[in-house]
Amino acid sequence: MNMSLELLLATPFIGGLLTYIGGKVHRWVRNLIAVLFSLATVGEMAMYYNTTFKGVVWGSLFGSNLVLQTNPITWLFLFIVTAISLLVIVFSIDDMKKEEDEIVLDSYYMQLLFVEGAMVGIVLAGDLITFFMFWEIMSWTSYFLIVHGGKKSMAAGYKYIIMSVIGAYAMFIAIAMLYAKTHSLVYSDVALALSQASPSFIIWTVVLLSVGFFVKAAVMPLHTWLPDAHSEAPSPVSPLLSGVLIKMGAYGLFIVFYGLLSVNLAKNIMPSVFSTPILLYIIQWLAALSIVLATFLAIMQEDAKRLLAYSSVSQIGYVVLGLATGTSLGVAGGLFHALNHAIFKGLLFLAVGAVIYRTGTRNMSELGGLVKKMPFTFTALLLGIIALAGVPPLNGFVSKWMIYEALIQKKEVFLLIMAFVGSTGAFLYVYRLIHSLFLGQLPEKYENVKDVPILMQIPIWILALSTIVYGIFPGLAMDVIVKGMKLFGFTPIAYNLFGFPEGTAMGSLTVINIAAVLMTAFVAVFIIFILFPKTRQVSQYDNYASGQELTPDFKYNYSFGFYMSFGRVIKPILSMSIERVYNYWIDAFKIFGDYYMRRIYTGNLETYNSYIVIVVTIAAAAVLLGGKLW
Amino acid sequence: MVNLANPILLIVIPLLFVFLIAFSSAFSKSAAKYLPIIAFGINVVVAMLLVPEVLKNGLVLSTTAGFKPPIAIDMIVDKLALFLVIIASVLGFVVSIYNVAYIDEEPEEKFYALFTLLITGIIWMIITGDLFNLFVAFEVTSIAAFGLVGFHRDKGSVEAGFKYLVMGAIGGSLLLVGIIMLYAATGTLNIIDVAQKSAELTFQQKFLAYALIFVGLGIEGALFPLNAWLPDAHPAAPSSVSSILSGIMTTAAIYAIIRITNIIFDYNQIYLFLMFFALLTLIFGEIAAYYQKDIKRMLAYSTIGQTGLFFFAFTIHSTNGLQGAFLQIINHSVSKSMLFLVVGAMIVQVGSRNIEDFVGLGRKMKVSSFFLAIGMFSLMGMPPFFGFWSKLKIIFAALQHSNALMIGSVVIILLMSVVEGAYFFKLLQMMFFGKAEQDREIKEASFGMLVPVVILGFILLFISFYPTPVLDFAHQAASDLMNKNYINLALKLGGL
Amino acid sequence: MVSTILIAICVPLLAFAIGLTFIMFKLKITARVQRRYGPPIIQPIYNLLKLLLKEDNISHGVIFSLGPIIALAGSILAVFFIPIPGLNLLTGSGDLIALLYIMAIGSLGMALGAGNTANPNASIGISRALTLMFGYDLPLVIIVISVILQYHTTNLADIVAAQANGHWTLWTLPLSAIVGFVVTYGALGEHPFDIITAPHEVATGPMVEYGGKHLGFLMINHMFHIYIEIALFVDLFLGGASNLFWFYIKMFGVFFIMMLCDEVFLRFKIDDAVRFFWKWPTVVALISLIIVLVK
Repeated sequence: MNMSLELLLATPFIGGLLTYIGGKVHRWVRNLIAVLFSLATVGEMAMYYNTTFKGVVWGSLFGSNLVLQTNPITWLFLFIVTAISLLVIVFSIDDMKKEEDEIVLDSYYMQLLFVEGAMVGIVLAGDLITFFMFWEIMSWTSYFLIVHGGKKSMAAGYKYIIMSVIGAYAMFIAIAMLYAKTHSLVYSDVALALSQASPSFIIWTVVLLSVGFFVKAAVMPLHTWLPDAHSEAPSPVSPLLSGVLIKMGAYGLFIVFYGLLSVNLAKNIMPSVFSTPILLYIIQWLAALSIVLATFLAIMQEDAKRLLAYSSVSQIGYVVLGLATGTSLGVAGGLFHALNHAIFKGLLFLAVGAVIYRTGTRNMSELGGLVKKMPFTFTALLLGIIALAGVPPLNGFVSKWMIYEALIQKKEVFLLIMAFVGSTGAFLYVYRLIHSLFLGQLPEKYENVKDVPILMQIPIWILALSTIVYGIFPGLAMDVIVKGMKLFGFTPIAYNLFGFPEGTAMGSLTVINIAAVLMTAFVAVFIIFILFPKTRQVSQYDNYASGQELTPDFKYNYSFGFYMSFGRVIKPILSMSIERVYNYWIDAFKIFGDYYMRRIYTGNLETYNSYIVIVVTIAAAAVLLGGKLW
Repeated sequence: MVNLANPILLIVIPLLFVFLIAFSSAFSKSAAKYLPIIAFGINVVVAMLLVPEVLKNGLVLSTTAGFKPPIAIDMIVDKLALFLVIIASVLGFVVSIYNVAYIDEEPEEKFYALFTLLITGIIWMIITGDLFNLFVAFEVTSIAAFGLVGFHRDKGSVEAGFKYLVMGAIGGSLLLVGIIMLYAATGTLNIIDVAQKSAELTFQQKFLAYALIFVGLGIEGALFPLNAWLPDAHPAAPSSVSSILSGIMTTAAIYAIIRITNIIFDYNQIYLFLMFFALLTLIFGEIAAYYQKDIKRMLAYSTIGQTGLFFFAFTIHSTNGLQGAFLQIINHSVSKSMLFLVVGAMIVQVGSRNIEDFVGLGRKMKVSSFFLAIGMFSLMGMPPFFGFWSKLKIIFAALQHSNALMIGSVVIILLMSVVEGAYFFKLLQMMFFGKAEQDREIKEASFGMLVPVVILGFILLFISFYPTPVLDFAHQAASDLMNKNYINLALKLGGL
Repeated sequence: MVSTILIAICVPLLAFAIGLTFIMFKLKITARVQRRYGPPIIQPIYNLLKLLLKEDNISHGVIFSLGPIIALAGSILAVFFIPIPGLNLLTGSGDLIALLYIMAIGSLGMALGAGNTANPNASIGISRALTLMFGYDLPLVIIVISVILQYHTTNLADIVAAQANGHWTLWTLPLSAIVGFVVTYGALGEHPFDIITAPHEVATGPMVEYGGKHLGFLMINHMFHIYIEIALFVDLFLGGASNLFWFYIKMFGVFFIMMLCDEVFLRFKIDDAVRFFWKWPTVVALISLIIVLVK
């Protein structure tokens, strides 16, 4: 069993290399290898369901053991990583066919598997060196995936990698500080050392680590890379980025606050607000701001993938908000939302990817009416948006409900208001998405569009069904989460397969009842509806238009600037941009650097020699002053 | 039975070959091409034979001319020196192979003679146990380098060569004056002897001598602000020469500074002073590299930055810091040499040094680009490449001292790493994902130029994925230096 | 078992009936305020039957037809989560927070159906409906939170029970109750918040393409909607009721005041409506919330 954790880690990497070699033989060999290896990873991951292994040493570096470990929480993230990766690879087979350069595809699959492997490594890591190593590997491998998407994606990828590197280096400093203290970076040793460390040391390390995670989790104000990167990446990569990669930031936060630092310790060393340690409280506020501001931005987008990207910023805000509550219910909600978001955001990106695959555009105002042509994709996307908007009985609702309840329990009402507002706002943008893509009028050029091939349907539908399964049976996920959280010292919350009984939160929830009543009501209403006189299908153009004759060459239903009037309301908010601040500093740095570099390296020998003279003079002066250097 | 594990052979054999090359054109036109390969092939073998000896005794010492030290000139190879000798020999060997396909300009045999002399001088600088010998080696290296920088004989090369010549000459004379002052103070030139005798001198008495030696070596070692010749000279030289200049020559000069600081001027306060230089070098190197349009210039500035980084690691003044410095030296030498070789091959294909012209090369020159990417990743310190381990070590070592100065330095280093990432990623994404406006006829580099690149690439990959022996060796070398085992062992083995 | 089924059938019917009577009174009240005699009180039933029994029903596609069905199903679902006197129904399966989201299903269904037309008025109507929803949602959640904090539970049945013996939230949290009234009023889309349907501008907005039984179902949905909003208000702020009669009276009282208001105001512009909701009701609701928090 010991060997197999390493095997689990190695499988995607080996698969990646073999995929590349396989691509030299034939593209189907390559595709088969990619699918098989990601399937194998899923299989190996499944063996660890609800098991705990502490410390499989796989190496040692600078006196610190490199450890792999697993427990139910890591299993949850492993599940997200491996399952979504598998679906993404299956989806890619047809979607990426349009790329005619085979070598690009070979490296694409290799990178996909490498990213998967890196994320498996992050999750399995039992010490900070392993964690950091795979973190960096994840950064650059995913960078290569992002820039696969064309010219614009290069700028997006560039921004992504630079911000990732900055975040990673913030983490690096913290890890080095911890290393100086303990000389062993295994989680348990670090936790022990932190429990005896001085408060300022703890706060510094935790803040620096959090900065790294915030960049990856795209918590405002460090989110600026995400909308570009996630929207410019190739369609199958976006779900991997949005669904899985940003969860690594959430996982990191969980490990830092509940693995390395415990809530009790945090409470002892820093003041508390609403019985939350101040650091966690600030994180909660950042998360809440992400939720609201990103929601506003998502509402105003015209590009389907950009809309979803901003939505990811907003939804990851819920995850972080939940994780930062520090109570069993909130943390469980945050973890569950991480899973749910991976499912529904993966679904949405894949469904939008399917639309892009058929139509070639992701500009929402150019699309419409595709429901007639792509009914399966429509249905899946509908489930996805319902889940995203947090409407029962689908999965997004349950986890959001847990987060709300946790916030109410702690009386953190202002955060709760922001969370609610973000959720209602989500309703606006998800409707915008489905409306612009699938409803309304079908542009003439898409008359011959068909639904996507079966290999693209399968991943979409697996995810769509998961939204229902995890919505109605939240207990399935809770089994893992609650058991895992026990290891981190949380009191287990009461739950059952269908929801939460009285006493867990301030109310109770049984999702299956909601689902059952909704279905019954729907069937009943449907039957009644059928009983009344029959309906007649007419053309969309045969409608109420003040006697005017409608022609298909003109678009009647609105899809551009759908919420323009709302945009006027939030204009003061939209005009703020943290990115402009960053760009200002970058420009300042560039100008400053350029100015001084030109004056130092002039290319003029006299100048250069004068430098030598200056240094020698200083040295001579120092001698005259009696050898004092300062 | 001749004992092949003799440090003197490291210098004597290549010197012999220098003469052979110079006269070879009389017999055969193409012999000059292949002689350096044989010379450094032998050198690699000798260096490898030295490994068990050095591991056993900690140090190998040999004297010349039948005298005993301190009168005789002795060659001392301890772990650190061996470490650099191996790098220099391997690079010499590999780049010699590269030269066969790369150099097509007359006068070839003079190029090969100078090239062999350059690496010989570098190895000499590394293993010499005598201060005056150090100066001689320094001058041999410099003279060879002046000639090689100006080898192309176009305007840029000549100008760069001239600048280098002037500054190098100043550096050489300052070094000489410094050595003379030390000699005047101690009455000996043998490093071990100087170490013994200078221990009795005060800080003030040694300071000016040290400062002059530092400036002299610093000019060659690319320390800011003495490094201004470098960004001109490295791009102007033929790529194979740039590879050696960047990969090992500056490193050898820094090694000399490290050695001299360690044995004659080991004061805590001097390290602060040196750290100041190191950080300035790092900052100016990396920032200047960001603005370059010429790819070789960019790499040259990056060399300055890297030099600053490992010099900084040395100035941490701890075993861990030194270990980090040595690891970074390996990383830099292997990666940067490889980068210059790859870039040289690309320039041959593209016909320009302008970065803009490298668009889309990733699809045309797949193997070269692949190794270019690996080298860059390693220099940036991205896992799982070797640069990650060395950067990890340096930062860990720096933060062992949790004072504001160290934390500030670490922040600067990491910020500069971001800048480094910024220009390397800019280039990489242009190469791999950019699309050239017009379709150009670009082929993969010729086999002869690819082989050395692949050799270096595999060395880099090998030490990346199996770093333990290198890490251990670097650690031993570092602790030897910290504990001044060099002096003690040399004394025991009759170095004096 | 039988009683369960009976309840399952009767409760939606009851809600429908209450909604229907309110619509019936509405025409009358409006007429009387305007000093007219008004149509016969039974007129809405005629209207409804006329629509439902129309022989020629036009549909613009499957989603167009499914829209009203989803909307109505969602509304019926919501009805089960609002406690009525003597019956707590499904309040144990989903609390107040769940109810807030269940209520959205109806809007989603309607938006989906109306969206699938090639009519600009429908698109504008939906855009306005969702924007308005976003507008009144902010004060709504604030008052909901203050009520929850007041009673330390999110279970509606418990909230109702806590208000027994005249301890109505209206008395304990008057500010919240006032905002609650405004929000409920806004949710019903009467003047000045009738921007969604605005017959003179967007020709009834989302409903513009609907006719026949589809429109009939939407009208039924509207009746449910009235019932849900007002019943929720009564349960939250007026202490529910001990029997159906009082429940009805309270609801009617609320509705009556609302109808009076309906006649007084003109129509907001949509962005002004959002600004309005985010200004005064939000501020007042926040004050009330802070009072609860401090208490």
